[in-house]
Amino acid sequence: MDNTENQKPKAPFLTRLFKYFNSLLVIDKSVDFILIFVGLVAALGVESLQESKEIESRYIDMVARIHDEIQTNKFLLEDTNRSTAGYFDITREINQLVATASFEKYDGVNKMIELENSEFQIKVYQSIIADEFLNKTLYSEVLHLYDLLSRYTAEKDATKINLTEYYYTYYRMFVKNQFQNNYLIEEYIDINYLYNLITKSIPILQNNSLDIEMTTERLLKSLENELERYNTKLIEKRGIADYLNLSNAALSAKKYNATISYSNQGLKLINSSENDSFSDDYLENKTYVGRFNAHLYKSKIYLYLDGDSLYPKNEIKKHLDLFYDSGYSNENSQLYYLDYYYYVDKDFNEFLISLKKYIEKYPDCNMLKPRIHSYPDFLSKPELIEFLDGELREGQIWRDWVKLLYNKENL
Amino acid sequence: MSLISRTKNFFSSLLIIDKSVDLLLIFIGLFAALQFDSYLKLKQSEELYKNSLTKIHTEISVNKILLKDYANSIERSTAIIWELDSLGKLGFKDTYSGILNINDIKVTQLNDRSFKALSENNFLNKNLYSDIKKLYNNYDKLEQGWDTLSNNLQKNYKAYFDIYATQQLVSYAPDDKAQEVVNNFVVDIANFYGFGSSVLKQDYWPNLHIQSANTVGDDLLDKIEAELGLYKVSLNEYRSYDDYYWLSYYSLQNEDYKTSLEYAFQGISILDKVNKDDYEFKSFSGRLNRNVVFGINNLIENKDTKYKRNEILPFLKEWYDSGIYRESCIIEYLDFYYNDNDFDNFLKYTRLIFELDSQRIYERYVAGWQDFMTKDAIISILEKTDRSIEAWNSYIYPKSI
Repeated sequence: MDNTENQKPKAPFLTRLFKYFNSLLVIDKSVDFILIFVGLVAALGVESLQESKEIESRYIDMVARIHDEIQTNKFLLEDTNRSTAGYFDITREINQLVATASFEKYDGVNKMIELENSEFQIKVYQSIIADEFLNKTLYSEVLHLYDLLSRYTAEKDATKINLTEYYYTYYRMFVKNQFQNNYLIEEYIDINYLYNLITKSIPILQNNSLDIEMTTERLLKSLENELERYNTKLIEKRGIADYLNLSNAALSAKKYNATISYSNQGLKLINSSENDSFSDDYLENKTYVGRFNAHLYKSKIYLYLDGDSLYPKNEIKKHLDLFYDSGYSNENSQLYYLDYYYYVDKDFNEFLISLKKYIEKYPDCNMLKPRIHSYPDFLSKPELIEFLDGELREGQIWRDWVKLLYNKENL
Repeated sequence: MSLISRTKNFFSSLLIIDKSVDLLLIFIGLFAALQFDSYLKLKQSEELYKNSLTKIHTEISVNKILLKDYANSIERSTAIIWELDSLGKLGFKDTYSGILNINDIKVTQLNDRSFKALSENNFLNKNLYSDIKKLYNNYDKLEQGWDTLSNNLQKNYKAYFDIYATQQLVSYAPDDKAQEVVNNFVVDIANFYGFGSSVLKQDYWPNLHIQSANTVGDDLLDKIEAELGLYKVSLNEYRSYDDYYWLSYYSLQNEDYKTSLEYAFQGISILDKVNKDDYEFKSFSGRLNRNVVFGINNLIENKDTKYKRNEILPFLKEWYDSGIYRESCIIEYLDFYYNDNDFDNFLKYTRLIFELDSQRIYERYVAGWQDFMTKDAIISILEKTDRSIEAWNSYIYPKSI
């Protein structure tokens, strides 16, 4: 039998095609099409959401970091204001000497060095990526503040240069006078001109400083407000190094309570592994503990000396011990014991023991030289004189070191 | 049946067509999704672009205000040179307040923060971007030119001072120094005329840069507005309260009080749409209202009759409520009530100022209210402060120190 005769005749191709693509299959394909479209849009959406979340997270970090930099600069500005007032005092004192033609020795260089202060911090500001700073209004305010800071710095630097020139002119007058050279016309002209220049630029500096201070206050609140919008607290974003930086700046501005607060918060962040010598962070954290305790010691001793009874002696001593034990800046920590036993405990025996320990370990006495004059009541004690005379090397004339002015600020 | 035959049967022509349709649909689906995504991104970047255009428009407008400041300063510098020249012709015998006069003509640096924040990649019209860059380049040249001019002006005055002072002191010079005095004198004269004429010659370039920046700036402002028109938006729709604040602020600095007021009012009207509990609202509301207070006060001082002094009160209240720069705000209240001879309210606000942490700005103003500051009620407040009455008196009567 012929097989072909038994087979059904094949339907035309188009008929079979339409039969195959029946309405259900068309719907099925349409659903697939929609799913492909929606799936990809959703995938792209998720990717872009992740990207924007990352940008948002970087933005929040940036806002927190710029806040702390501005806060640090606020402290530095207070320190700078003291320098400006100091410039004015120097100018007035020299002017007095010139006006009375009493060309006495004037320690201008050291006075100016004492008025030196840290430059404003701009690291975070420079690292801002404009595109990623999401709130452009706020960004514009940040730029405005740093613009004010840069103009203030330029003005202050110019005043400092003029002051240096002013003192140098006086120094020339002083030296000429020593050599009985009375030809001082040029110096008189220069000193008059520079006096006018400095005294007229100081009020400008003070006004600019006030402007910066008010803008800073407002901007700090705006930045805190911005963080709140993202449900973020500033302290969540601060690390140990941030607290150290803030504590350091607060100390330089003599804001002791703020220093204590920042140092305590920094210490809280140092985890319990600090005492674990196997921990990777051990060495790093040990120096942080030392530095924070140095700041706490300094702040509390200043408050104690100012009559604040909030911090007892043993608490101040505890910070000093922790600073010493950390091994960080050991020479300094040993010298701080001298301050403690002189100003706080007023214990001569312990003072002498600490001095002996110091000289044994640091026979060059580099850091002792500029400080020894700040312990005048103990320096006349026979035991101390005998010890220093016997222990110091030839050429180390400690009596000459003492002649430097007594200055409690050197603590 | 062999595997090949079975495969052939499975991949019948219908299945191949089916898979081809699938392939086509996947292609179209993916393509459509990508197009949709890039459409969304384009819309987003267009939004950013329109915002950038508005910000740069504001900055160029602000700089136009500051350019007037530069032009006035150059004019004032030239005037100082001629004033010194006249004094020179009279024999350098008179004093001249050169440092104060030169300090008075210091200019405000041109703004470039919006320009710095521009991203070239996101700036859709590259030709416009290139024109903007040229304008900012022009600004840089103007600032450099101004710095040179200003330095030479200072040297010119220093030379004048040297000549004047030498003449005053020359009688004290011993005979053996006479030659040295003459030599220095000649150098000072050379410096005086050298730096003076250099200022007069050098004002050409800054003036040219100002002219050019004004022309290019105007053209760019039109172009930016036209560019915004392409996106069917007007500048006012995109300007926010901070744009109006800076425009108002710099107009105020440039003593253009009417313009400053117009911008401040526009800013305040936009701010009404912002959440009033938000710190940003308070920050801008405080400053915009302050600008209105300063603008009205200055117009009244300039004998403008459009405003009356008590019209500042509602704006002072808004400023006070914002908490921004409160010490300055209370000082404005004190000044208002002093001029109004209203001691009760003066006393009320004096009490308020001592509730603040700082009175550093206040102490600079007390000399202007001497009649009220010496009344018993005020003195009793001052006595309660950390500063002694004698110390306060040195602020109230500054010349009596």
